[in-house]
Amino acid sequence: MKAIGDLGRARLARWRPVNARGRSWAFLAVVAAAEMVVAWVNPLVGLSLHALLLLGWIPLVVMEPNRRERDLMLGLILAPLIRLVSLALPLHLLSPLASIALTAIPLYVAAWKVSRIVGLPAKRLGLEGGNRTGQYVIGLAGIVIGVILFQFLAQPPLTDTLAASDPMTAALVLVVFAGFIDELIFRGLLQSLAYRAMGSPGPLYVALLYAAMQIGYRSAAHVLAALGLGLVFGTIAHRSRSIMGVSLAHGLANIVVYLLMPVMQARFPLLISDMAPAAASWPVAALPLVAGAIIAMVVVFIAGRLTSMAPDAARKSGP
Amino acid sequence: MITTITTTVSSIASTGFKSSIVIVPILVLVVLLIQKEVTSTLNTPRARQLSQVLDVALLPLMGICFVTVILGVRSFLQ
Repeated sequence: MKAIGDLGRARLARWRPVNARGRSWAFLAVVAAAEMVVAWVNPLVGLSLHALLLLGWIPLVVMEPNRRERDLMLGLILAPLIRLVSLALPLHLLSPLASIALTAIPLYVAAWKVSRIVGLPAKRLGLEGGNRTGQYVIGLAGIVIGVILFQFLAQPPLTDTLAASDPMTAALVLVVFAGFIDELIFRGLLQSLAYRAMGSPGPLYVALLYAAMQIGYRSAAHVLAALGLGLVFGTIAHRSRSIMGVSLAHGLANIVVYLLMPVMQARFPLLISDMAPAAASWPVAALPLVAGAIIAMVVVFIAGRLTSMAPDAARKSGP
Repeated sequence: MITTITTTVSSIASTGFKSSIVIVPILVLVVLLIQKEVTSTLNTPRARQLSQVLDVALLPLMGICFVTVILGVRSFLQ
């Protein structure tokens, strides 16, 4: 009788309503739903969903017996945390640049804490290694990405405020506290953990999560662009074993969208407005997209070639 | 460009929820602090693990609360 009782308890301890992978996909769905609620229904309710997700997720992380799945689940805590931290600041007391910097610093701390718990060294996060020339080439592609995004996406609401601030400070903040933190969390940390736990669908999962976190822009084009960029950046970071190139690309694209293109638009209104999608015909508007796609493919090809030239030992020790 | 940090901040800034929305992260912080206090009294491997996991969320939220208090005091003094 006691043996039967022990068996029952053991089965109960092992019982999970959904397996770890199912939970991760459910987590993605809840994050997307919470972002939709924040954007379209009620920000307070949406943020409460993020809070409940965070509070409910933490015990599940500890209960997960599989180390790789547990590490991924721990990393996923960062998604609702990003939203909670970014909205906890008193925005009316801060400039947009200060709010971006003050949001990013705690997230750096959280990412550092996660990387310490799961035992990911700087090299596995993509902070070291990789071919330097290749990383610069990838980074410079950010200028093209920025121009394309500016043409095709509606201008984010912060554009006017950022364009009015000191350009050097704004550029530094956009690179270090907006571009790099995204790449460190999504491509450096989460992608490494997702790849270990899920295998090849891991980068797709992280790109979908990244896209879900952009729902707040209330633009399908933004979400699709984030998904596409997440996949391209994720592939590049995975193949080159470094996030430095994609971080530079992300930062430069931010600078182009928020600082450079608004100035260009003010100085050369005819040139920029002629290129704007509202004024241009579809074939003309599609040209930068096609050119961008070709450039992106060339960059990925060059990055692949440069990676293949890297020493085998360095590649084997990568994530 | 695409940044997860500015996304919703920019959307929320255009709504009237600025002050009430801050309550949610503060409540989360309080719940996490209670959980941390409870786990610190237990001496099991799982409790230690939970304590580490809680730190991931606690550290950023505490930092943000600290900054919020400083900004509030500065704004009050001005």
